[in-house]
Formats: sequence, C-alpha cells, structure tokens
Amino acid sequence: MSDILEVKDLVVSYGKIKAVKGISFTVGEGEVVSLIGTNGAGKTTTLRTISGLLRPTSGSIRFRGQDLTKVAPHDIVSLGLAHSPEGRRIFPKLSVEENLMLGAFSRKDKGIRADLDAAFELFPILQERRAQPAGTFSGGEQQMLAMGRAMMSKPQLLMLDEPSMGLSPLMMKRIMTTVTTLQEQGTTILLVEQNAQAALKRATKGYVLEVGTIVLSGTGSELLASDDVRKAYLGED
Amino acid sequence: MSTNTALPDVLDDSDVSRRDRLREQHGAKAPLLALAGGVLLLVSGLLSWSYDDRILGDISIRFYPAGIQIYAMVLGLVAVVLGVLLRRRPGWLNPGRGLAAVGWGSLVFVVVALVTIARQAGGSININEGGWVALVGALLVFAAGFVAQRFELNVRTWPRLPGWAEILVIVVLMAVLLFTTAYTLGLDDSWTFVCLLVTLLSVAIALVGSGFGEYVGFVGGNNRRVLLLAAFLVAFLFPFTQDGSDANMSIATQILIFAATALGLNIVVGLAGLLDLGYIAFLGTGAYVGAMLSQSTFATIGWKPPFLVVMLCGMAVASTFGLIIGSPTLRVSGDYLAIVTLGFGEIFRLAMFNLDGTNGPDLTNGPNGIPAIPDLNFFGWDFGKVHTVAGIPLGRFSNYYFLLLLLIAFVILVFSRLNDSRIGRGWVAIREDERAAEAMGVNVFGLKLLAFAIGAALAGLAGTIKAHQDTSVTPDQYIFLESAFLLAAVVLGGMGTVAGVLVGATILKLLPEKLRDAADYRLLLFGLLLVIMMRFRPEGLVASKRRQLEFHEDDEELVQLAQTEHLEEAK
Repeated sequence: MSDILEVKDLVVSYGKIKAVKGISFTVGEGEVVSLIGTNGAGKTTTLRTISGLLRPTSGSIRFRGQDLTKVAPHDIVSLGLAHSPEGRRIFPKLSVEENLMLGAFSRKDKGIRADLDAAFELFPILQERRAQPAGTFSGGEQQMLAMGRAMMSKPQLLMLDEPSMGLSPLMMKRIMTTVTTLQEQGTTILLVEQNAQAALKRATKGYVLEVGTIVLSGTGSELLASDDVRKAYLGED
Repeated sequence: MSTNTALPDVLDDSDVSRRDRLREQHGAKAPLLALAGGVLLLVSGLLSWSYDDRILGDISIRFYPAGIQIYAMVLGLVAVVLGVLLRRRPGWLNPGRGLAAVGWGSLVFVVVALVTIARQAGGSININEGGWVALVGALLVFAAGFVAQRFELNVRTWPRLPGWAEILVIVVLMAVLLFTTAYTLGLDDSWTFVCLLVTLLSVAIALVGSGFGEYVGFVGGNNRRVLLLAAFLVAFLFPFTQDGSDANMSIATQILIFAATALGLNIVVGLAGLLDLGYIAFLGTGAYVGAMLSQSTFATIGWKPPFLVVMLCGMAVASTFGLIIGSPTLRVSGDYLAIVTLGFGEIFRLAMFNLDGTNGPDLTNGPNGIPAIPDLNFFGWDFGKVHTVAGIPLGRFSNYYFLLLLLIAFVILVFSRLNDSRIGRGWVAIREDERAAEAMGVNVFGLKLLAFAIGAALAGLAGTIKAHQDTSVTPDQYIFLESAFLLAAVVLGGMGTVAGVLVGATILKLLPEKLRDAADYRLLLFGLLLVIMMRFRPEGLVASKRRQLEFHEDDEELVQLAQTEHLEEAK
C-alpha cells in the first residue's frame, strides 16, 4: 500500500509547552488508521496541525508527497483532506442541508447534488430532517451530520476526531459501522479516539499516543491483544 | 400564614397565571369591548376635540375630521376590524395580540393629544367632547386587548389568493406607503407628528403582532420581483408628490445617502459579522476624493476627470483603505477589530483636519474643508436647476434623489447577489462558527477581507455623490457619532436584511428632522430606543428567519416556520 499521508518528526507547541513531541506515522491508501490515547495526549492537536488549523514547530506533513505545513487550511481541504472536528462543530442554526452544502464549500464541480444524495443514503435520518436546524439534533444525529458534512468535500482522506464522544453505545456502534462502510467505499480514514476498543477493532493500523509521543504501534488486532493497551485503555488487569 | 396546603395557591399567584385566568374568565367579552371602543374612537373623529383651532392643526370642527381626528378614526377602524376577527378567527391570525398593540397605541395617542391640548390652550377645560369620547374609546380598546385570548398561529392555513390578487395586495400596500410617507413628511407640528407616529407604530405592531405581517411577507415572498419593482416605483414617484418643494426632498436625499451607507455597513456587520465602528471614514474618503477631483476652485488636485471616473476613484481609494486597515486587523477577532476600526475613524478625521499644508501636504484645506463643489451635470442635465417633468417641477434635491435611488438600487443588487452567492454562504459559516468554517475549507481571512473591501467601496461610492450634494466637505461631518448612528440603523432595522436597514435608516434620519422640539434629547431618546429594542426585539425591526432563530432558539413556533420556509425555498 502506498502511503497517502506521511507525518515525520512532528512537533507542535502552544507557546512554550510542547503538545506533540516529535511523532511520526503513516496512513496508507484505503486504510483505517487509529490514533488512541487519553486526554491531553496530543491527538486533536495532531489532527488540527494536519489540516492546517495549527502550524507545527518542526517536522513535516506530506499528503501524496506534497508538504502541507505551509499550505492554507482552505487549500488543504481542496487537496482532498476533510476534517470532522472534535465536538462535531456543526452549524447549529443552519439546516441540515445547509450544513451539508457548506461541507462542499471548497468544490465547484457539478457532482455536489449527487454527493448530497450519497450523504442522505449513508444517513437516511438526515434526509428526513434536512430542513431542521441542526442545533435541535441529538448528539448522535449531530455526529452523523458532521461525518456527512465532511464527506461532502469528496475527500481522499477523512479525519475523524472522537466521533464516539458522548454517544450511547448503540449510536456509537452505528457510527463505527459507517466508518467501515466509508472505508469499503474507498475513503482512507484517520480516526482519533479515546475509545480504544471500538477504534482498534476496525483499524488496519494503530498508534498509541501518550503525552505527545507515540509509545506503541502495530496493526489493530496486535494492539488490541497487547498487554499494555489492555491495561491502560481497556481497563483490564 | 401559609400552610403546606396553601402553597400551590401562593405559587399560582404569579403575574402570568393571574393574567391567564383573567383572559379565561373575561376573554369572551374582548370582541364586544373592542367593537365598542373602536366605534367610540370612530365617532370621536367626527366630534370637536378642542375649543382652540390653533392646536394640533385644527381639530375644533365637528363632522369634518382632520389631523389627529383622522388618526383616532384609523385606530378605531383597526380596533373594530380586529374585534370582528376575534369573533370569527381564521387560524393564521392572532387578533388578541393586535388588539393589545392598538389598545396601548390608542391610549398613548389620546393621552398625548389631550395633554398637548391642555398644555397649549391653558387647561383641560379647553378639551371638547371629542377628546373625552376618544379617551373612553381608547380605554375600552385597551381593556379588550388586555383580556383578549391569545392563540397559537397555524401558518399553513394562509389563504391562497390568485396571482393578480396577490400583486394587488402589494400595490395597495405600496400606495398606502407612498401616501403615508408624503403625508408624514408634510407635517410641520411636532406634537401632531408624535401623534401620527404613535398611530402608525401601533397600527404596524398590531398588524405584525396579529399575523398579517407574516402573511404579507409570505405574499411578498411569492412575488419578490413585483414587490421590488413596486417599491422602487413608489420611491421614484415620491418627488412628484412634493410639488417642487425642496424641504422634504433635502431630508429624503439625506436619508438615501445614509441608507446606502448603512447597507454597505450591513455587508460588513450583517453578512460577514464584523463589527466596524469607524465605517463613516470610508464615506468620508469617498467624499474627499469626490471633492478633490471636482471642479471646485478649492480642489487641491489639478486633475478634474468626469464624474464617472471620480466615482470609480472614490471606490478604489476607499477599498484600498479598507484593505490596509483590514489585512492586519482581520486576523484578530471581535473586540480588537472594533477598537482598531474605532481608531481608524478618528485617525481619518484628524488626518483630514491636519492635511492643510502646514502639517503635511495640502490635500484637504484642514478644518475649512473643500467648499464650493459645483452641482453634477450628466449629459446636459444640470443637477442644480429646476426641471419640469409632466407639469411638476423637480428641484435640485429631486435630481440628487433620483441619482441616489440608482445608487441604492446598485447597493441592494450587490448586497443580495452576495448574500445568495457562495461567498454569502461562506460568510454565514464564519458568523456561525469560524473554526468549523475553516475546517470546511472556507477561506476565512480572505472572505472577511473581501467583505471589508466591498463595504468600503460602496461607502466610498456614496461619498463621491454626497460631496456634490452637500456642496462642501469638512472633517467634522465624519465624527464617531455618525459611525455609531450607521451601526444603530443596522441593528435597529435588522442585521443582514435590506428592508430592515432601509427602515432603520429612515427612522434615524427622519425623527431628528421632525422632532425639532426634542433636539436636545436626541441622543438620550436614541439610547432609550436601542435599549427597548434590545429588550423586546433584539433581532431588529425586520429580521430574517435565521436571525430570529439566533435570538430565540427555544421558540418552537419559529423553528417550525423556518423549516416550512426552507422547504418552500427548496422547491
């Protein structure tokens, strides 16, 4: 598998504090890669840096060979990277449809309508409520909308930041199933999660972050089986 | 002492439930009260209000209603209609709320009228029977409004009129608007004006409150083009109602300049969500460019291009300033931007004040400004002369009025095109959540800068015309207070809407002209007006559904309405 994203020695700081201390990882074409770790491990910071919302102190981010560290965030979206941010951040006063259309903001081609239908097919509830202000949705529905919205930019790489946060087990399962569906449809996914079990079960590859450093890596099943992960993240003795 | 069993009663005793109970008990009497009060108001219009025929126009004559007697009859008529509607109510109307507005309005109106008569004539003995009948009528209508029951609106039951009838509704509305405007501007007496204002305001609130407003909006939405065309036709016809008099036309041109500038500001504030407290500087930039490049002998630059070129220069220079101010400051958010623009406004004024040759290059003649700017001349149409069209003389200000009307049309076109475009959607996203917008691929900084530059350019364009209309440009026309007033017009009228800003600008410019008696309290009254607005209608007089949603998130009815509208639009 060729690598679609290559992060090398990435360091990101907030003032004097280093949130990410030189991490390296790769995402291959068609993979689902999970970054897991506790609060403050630097997962969200990593994602935000990849999508250009934060600038790295040092290190490189290559997307299909192109360095992203100096590209503007809106150009990064145009290159084919979509970011579904932490806490979903849907536009609460806009309708579902308007939210989805804003996901396609970077596009000017004619296929937007078709992709809107594809998003509705992925999450039929969105079609049912397409005129409803998104702020009136439940957490799970908002997460669906956030994912649908991210897919509207027709990304080659979809980055999901804690999609399972605050969801019921049932809804979480639904969201995770969709991750697999999207992978099968050909989207590469970089998944950031605190819920290690769910994230690793579907991952082709996983990285464990602790206070800004990668402490473990391997295939999803390897990590699930590893004693360290079981102790630290799955609460098993 | 209250025991445990008495507790529910104590809780029940809140104001709201007391009023609800009152409405349940006496609500049935409301139509009758409204009818009786309305009829009394109607009758009072036919009676004499005062012995003295010099007060509030002439209201001393019986069976010959004039001035405030007619206002009383209008209020009475509305009360009667609402009373009848309360009896046989269609689902899309809520006459109770309308009655409350008319009740308040009539009461305030009659009290103001009676107090004025008593004060100006020297004692309440001078009030004739008409005034007292009106007072009783107003009290009855007020009571009706107080006890009338409120209903949930069902907007799906709007009557569908045939196309021509809907257009007729619009035309009639516009005709009423034209007549009322011409009439209002024709009033000289401050207190008659206040009475008229109370009447118009309460009738307007009554119509909107009872659900007619939504319906008119719905009809207007169905015939957007017709509405726009009719509005412009009415505006175009206005100078012909003035019979060559320039007094009102001068006010009207000031309103138009102010409105055009406020619309430009509305792109920055209402669409892009950026707070600009120094916007008047861009108008000033345009005015100074217009003055410096004019034929005036005091113009400081030798180049005197045709006015079309001057307009383009004004836009270019203003938007350049916009870009210069914007590029460093738009990276910071909210309050910082407001402070920087506030500073820019002051810097502009002081710079114009000092560029007089002693402190720097002589560009502006310092505090003296650039006077003697000649009138415009388009293809032999001299703006300074009186022209007669269809037998009606049109003075100097009428000429500028027509030009400004074109300007407004252009600004509205730019505004609505932007609002409906991809750029407009980007602005919506930025307003809602800047971070999320960025993650969606919206070029946040670029779009903000664009809004700033377009807003500045439009103000600059308006400024070049203003320079010629005012015939002189001085620094003290561009003080911070003017920026504040522009912002007040936007907030008062409704952020992000065209109609709202037009209404807001008209109110803010017209009131000081007509209420000369209260000139000393102008700022106090505006402050009060804004505070009241923020309390009762923070989204502005005319608000888009989305804005309303932003201020009243928990209003289920509104959510429903917004949804219906969205589906209609999608069709």
